[in-house]
Amino acid sequence: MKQQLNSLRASTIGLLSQIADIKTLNDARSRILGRKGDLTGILRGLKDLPIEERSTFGQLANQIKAELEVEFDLRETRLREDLEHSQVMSESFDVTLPGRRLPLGRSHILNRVTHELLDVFSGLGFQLAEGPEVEIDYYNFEALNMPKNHPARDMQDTFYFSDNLLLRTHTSPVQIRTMETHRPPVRIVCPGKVYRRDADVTHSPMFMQIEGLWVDKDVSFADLKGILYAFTREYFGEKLGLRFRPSFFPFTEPSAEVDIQCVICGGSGCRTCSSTGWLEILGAGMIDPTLYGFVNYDPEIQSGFAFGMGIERVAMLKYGIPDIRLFYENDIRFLNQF
Amino acid sequence: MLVSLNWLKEFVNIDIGPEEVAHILTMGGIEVEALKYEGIDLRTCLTARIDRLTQHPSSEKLNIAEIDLGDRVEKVVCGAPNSRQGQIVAYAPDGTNLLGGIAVCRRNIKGIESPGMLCSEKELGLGEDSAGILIFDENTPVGVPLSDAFPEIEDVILEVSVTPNRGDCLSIIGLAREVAALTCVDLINRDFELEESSVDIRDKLMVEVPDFDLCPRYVARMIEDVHVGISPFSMRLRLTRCGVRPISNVVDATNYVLLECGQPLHAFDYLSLENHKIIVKRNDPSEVFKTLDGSERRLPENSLMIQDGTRSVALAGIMGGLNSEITSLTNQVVIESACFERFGIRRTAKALGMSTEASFRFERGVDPDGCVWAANRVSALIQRLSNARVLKGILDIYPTPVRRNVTRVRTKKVNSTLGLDLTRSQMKSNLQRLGIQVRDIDDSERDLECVSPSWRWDLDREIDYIEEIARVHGFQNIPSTMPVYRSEPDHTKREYTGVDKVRDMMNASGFTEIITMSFVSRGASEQFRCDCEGEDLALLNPLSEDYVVMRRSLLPGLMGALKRNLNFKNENLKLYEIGKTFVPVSGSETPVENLRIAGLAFGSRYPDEWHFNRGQVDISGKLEVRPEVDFFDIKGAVENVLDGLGISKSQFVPSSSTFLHPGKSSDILVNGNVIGFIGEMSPDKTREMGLSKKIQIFDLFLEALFVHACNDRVFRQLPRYPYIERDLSIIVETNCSGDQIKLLISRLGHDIITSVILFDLYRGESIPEGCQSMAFRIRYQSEDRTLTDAEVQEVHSQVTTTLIRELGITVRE
Repeated sequence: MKQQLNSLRASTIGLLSQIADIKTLNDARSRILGRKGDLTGILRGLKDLPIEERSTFGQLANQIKAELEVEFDLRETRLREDLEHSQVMSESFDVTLPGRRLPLGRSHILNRVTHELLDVFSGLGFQLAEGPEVEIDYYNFEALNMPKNHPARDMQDTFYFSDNLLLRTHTSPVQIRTMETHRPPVRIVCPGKVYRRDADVTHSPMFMQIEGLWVDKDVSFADLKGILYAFTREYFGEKLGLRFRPSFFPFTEPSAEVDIQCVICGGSGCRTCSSTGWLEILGAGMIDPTLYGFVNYDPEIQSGFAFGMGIERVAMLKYGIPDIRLFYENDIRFLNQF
Repeated sequence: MLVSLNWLKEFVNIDIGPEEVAHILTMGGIEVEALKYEGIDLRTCLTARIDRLTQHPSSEKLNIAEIDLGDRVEKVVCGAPNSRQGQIVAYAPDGTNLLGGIAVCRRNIKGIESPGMLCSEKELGLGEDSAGILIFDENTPVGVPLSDAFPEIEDVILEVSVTPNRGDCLSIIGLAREVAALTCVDLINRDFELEESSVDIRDKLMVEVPDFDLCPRYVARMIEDVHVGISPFSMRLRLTRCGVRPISNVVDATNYVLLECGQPLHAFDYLSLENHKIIVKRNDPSEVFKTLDGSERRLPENSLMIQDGTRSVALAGIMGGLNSEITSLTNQVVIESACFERFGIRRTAKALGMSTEASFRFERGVDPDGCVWAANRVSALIQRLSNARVLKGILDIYPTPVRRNVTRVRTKKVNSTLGLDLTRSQMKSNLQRLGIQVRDIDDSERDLECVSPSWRWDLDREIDYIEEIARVHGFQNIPSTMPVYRSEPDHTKREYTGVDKVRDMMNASGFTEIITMSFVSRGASEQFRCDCEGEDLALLNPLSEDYVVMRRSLLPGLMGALKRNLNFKNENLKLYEIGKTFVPVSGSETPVENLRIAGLAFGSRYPDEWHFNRGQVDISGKLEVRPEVDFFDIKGAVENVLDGLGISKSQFVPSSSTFLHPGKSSDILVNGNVIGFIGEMSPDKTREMGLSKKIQIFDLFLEALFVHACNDRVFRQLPRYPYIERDLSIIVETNCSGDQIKLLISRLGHDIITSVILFDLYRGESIPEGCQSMAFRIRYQSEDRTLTDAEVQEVHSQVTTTLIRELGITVRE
């Protein structure tokens, strides 16, 4: 019987290694270890043995049965793993196909740039101010030190509704409106649409500006430079230098045009900057004391600066956009690029 | 303004290159926009005298010119009609490359070999004349390079942009003064000789200035025996290079001096001045005046005229009259060198839409102390150019000399404004370099007292002088510091944040933002207006018919953007715009500006991609392969916006808008207020717009929405007990709204119904006409216990029976 048992063990182990599918395995398991299986058949012979040997062989038989059960289990696990593996290997996607997504829309690039600019200026301490787009002469010109018949009015070709009513030509009226209603200190940025009677590659009859105003005690031209350096470093990167050139605006004195080193060539000279290495980006200056007279600030106590820039200009420089009209044609192929 | 560097160097002693000059001016506030190198292509060209002209044997139009080149004689073929024997002309030999694009080479012209060519002004880039060859002055040396004969033929032209406050820089001398100040060198004083005849001007001419408020100074000189003719080449060249067309020696001389010192001058033909008088006075409003350019002009009131006692002869400071202009027969000339009042000239010029070299300078202020110098200078020039005699003396009407104010400049204020730490003597030296008279005030403050030079009109206040100190110091030499401030909370961005949130929501719903013009055409403005609206706000001076009136709706702009994209075959579009609309209000000068959002959806609902192409079953059970957007797409986007703003209580009620489909549109109410509409455009409007597919649109008033926006959301305990769901499938008449049924179910919920979702909707086959099948999934859940099936079943049955009773529904199996 011992021999029978051992040979059953050996033959079963040999058989197991040849079984390749679970059904055959299960069949073999019940044929060998089942209730009517081979092992049971051998054990039936136990009763013919002497009592003292029965327990010895009984133990051996149980031991072999347990051992074989484990072998069957191992084999079954192995077969299931193989099966799953081959199934997994046979299933595959073309992972290069596009994902199932509903396309997102986008904010207009000019509003996105405005947002970025606001973020930078917020960080520098500026608050937000806005004003009407249809303005009266007083806020757009008069209170900005541009009386009627002043040649400076030639710098801005204006759309009129009547002698006194017009489309604002710059965001500067917001300066006056804010100072009228707020006592100093005032630190604001005013983004918004402005209008000039002009249309070509670099001029749109409607365009966007952002303007800053900082009025407080002891504010100097050096502070203006500091703020604008901080702004350009933050927005255009560390490497680009700034250049302040004296200029003229009726509402600032001293006034400056501010050039930034060319964002395309970094200052070495290219087509975008007409080989000068510099690009005009901002107008700025110290608030002309005349303005304080219009808003009841004391120019002996308060001083301040203002600056302004065209948002299209910033976007054109930053993204290399050649023609201002693209912003307002609203071609989806353009809008989706940014 | 175009500025010749050679000319500039006559007045300032600088030893620096053109780029450097440009940089110094630019950094001093006078922007040099471009540099143009002139004449470098003419180095191989020679002066030549035509010794003999013979007809070309095979062409009537051509000549063969034998030209003397000093050391040799050449024969060249020449077709110029103005060539004559004895003329000194410009010869470009084989190998010359002219910047105008001509490469000169030895050529055989109809059988005659020509080793080079005789050139016109235009071919040489020295002027506009291309009718004939350029003819030099008689005394020009022969056979020398052009640049030796005329050293200034090689020049650099600076294109200078002068700001309106710096009228004093609109001349060579003005710029020379700036360069001298900015580079710390001296100006060169150029003397000229002027011989006067024994005849006194007072015996021949009288000047009266009754309206001296518009003409502070009037200076006149007279010249006799003038021979009007062509100016010498070098003068013509200078004028041309500076953008002024040469006319005749007398007119050229006045223009030359204008460019040189900035004083506009006018030359009258003495004999055409009736009464030999000049009277400077306001116009007669009924008068029509013919200016030099031949235009008859009706002049605005208070225009200043030059009259001769009988009639007007010039529009003061702007343009001369045709009746007194210099002609080839003119023999006696009156020179006017005046200082007209700036704003008067501007008013008239602006009203007439005119801008001349003279008016441009008068508007910006000319030097009242420079009138006499300029009159003398131009007289000397004309004397030299045409061998004329200058009469003795000048007439100078200057009743109230212009006085400049004395301004105290506080040294402390200078430094605190600029953020600098300059000493008083540094400030003083900066100012003096600009010709400003500066005096120390020796009190405890140690300030300065300044008086502006006569040529500056922009220096009056302390701040003006501070700017000058900064300019000479150099803006680049001012340090940069960060201002110090007391921080405070920022309440200014609330609305902006709201707009930003709306943008985020729209973008997430797949809509792309556009920005269109705030003005539209009259036709476009009519498209989406209600009958109740009044007049549009219209521009007086629109740029084109497309931009005439301020928009009162964002829809015309959106439709424009849609059409543009359709033209480029982009046919699936979801667009929105956030912007202001403008509505005039009676009794108010300014219009109401409303911040609004509007949008449209057009074309396919899904992108045309593999995983979206299986289609969807529509409400009547049909499989739509590429479903078009409908009402519910745009409603979803609007609901996202409302949700983003925390607005939970909105109602959609049928809209009465005339351009919307009556059955597929709704007004949107928030807390009972209409804040906008959504819907499908009505079929006739869609046709009117030229669209072949349905279009969904919406329009909301943003400011009104922000009023109802709510940021105070409160936490609700998460449910701790499981829910049970029951479906209810019913057939109901179509006029019974989904909202109504949902409300009814929720109300019957005994606090244990937490949600009701319509998960299926169907009309069509197997459903009776006028009815639809609706399937709701009702979720039962309690906050304090686990519900039993029996409990749920009881409520669910109540719901069913109530719906049957109230709405007459039929329950489906």
